Amino acid sequence: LTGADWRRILDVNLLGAAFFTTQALRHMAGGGAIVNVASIHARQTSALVAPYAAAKAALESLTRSAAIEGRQRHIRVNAVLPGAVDTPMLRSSPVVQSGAEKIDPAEVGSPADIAATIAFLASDDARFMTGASVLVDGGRLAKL
Amino acid sequence: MVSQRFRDKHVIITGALGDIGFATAERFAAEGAKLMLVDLRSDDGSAAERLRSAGAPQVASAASDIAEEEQVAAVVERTRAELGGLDVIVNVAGMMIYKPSPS
Repeated sequence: LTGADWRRILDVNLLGAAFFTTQALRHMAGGGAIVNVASIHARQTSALVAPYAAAKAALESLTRSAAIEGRQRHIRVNAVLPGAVDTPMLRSSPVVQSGAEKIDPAEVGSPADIAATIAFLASDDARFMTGASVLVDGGRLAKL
Repeated sequence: MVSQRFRDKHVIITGALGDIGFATAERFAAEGAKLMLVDLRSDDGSAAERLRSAGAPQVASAASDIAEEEQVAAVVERTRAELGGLDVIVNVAGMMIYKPSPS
C-alpha cells in the first residue's frame, strides 16, 4: 500500500461524505436526512483492505458527529452497514475468488435490500432515529 | 401501489451509477423523489430515462469527483437551483482496493 492508495481510499469513502455533510449543515434550512453507506468492515474486517476498513469505521464515526451537529437544524444522519451484496465487485473480489473469504449464500443480499433500508432511514418513518448504524448483512456479524 | 414517502423531496445520491447507488435511485424514484445522480462516470441519459419511467418526476445528473470539495459544493448548488431544494443526501460512493500493507 502506498500513501496515494491510502489517500484516494480515504478521499472517496470518507471525505466525500464529509463534504456533503458540511453542505447539508449549511443549506438544508428546512431540515432533512443524510444516509451514509458504510460497511460491515467498519466493525470486523479481513486482510488486504486496511484503508477501506479504516475509512468505513471513520464514516460510522462521522455519522455520529454529524447527527449531533445536525440536531438543532433538524437534520438526521444515519448509517447503513451492508454485508456481502451480490454485485460484480463482490464476485470479482480476489479474496472471494481465491477462496480466502468464504461467504454463506444465505448471507449475500441484493442491492435492493440495501436500498430499502436506506429509504427507510431517509424517510419520516425513521423520524426518531439519528446517529444510528444499521447492519444489513443477513446476520453475518451476529455469529462467532 | 408503492408508498410515496419522497414525493416533493429533493434527493442527491452519490455513486448513483453503481449497483447499490442505482438500486437506491430506483427505490426513491418509485416513491416520487426528484433526483440528482452523482457519479464519477457521466450518465449517457439511459439511467435518468429509466428512473423517470420508474416514477421520478425529475432527474438531473452530475459527473463529479466527490473527493473535491468545490465539486461537491457545485453539485449542491445545482441541485437547489435545478430541482428546487435539498432534503436528502445518500452517500453511496465508495471504492475498495485489495493490497497487503507492505506491498
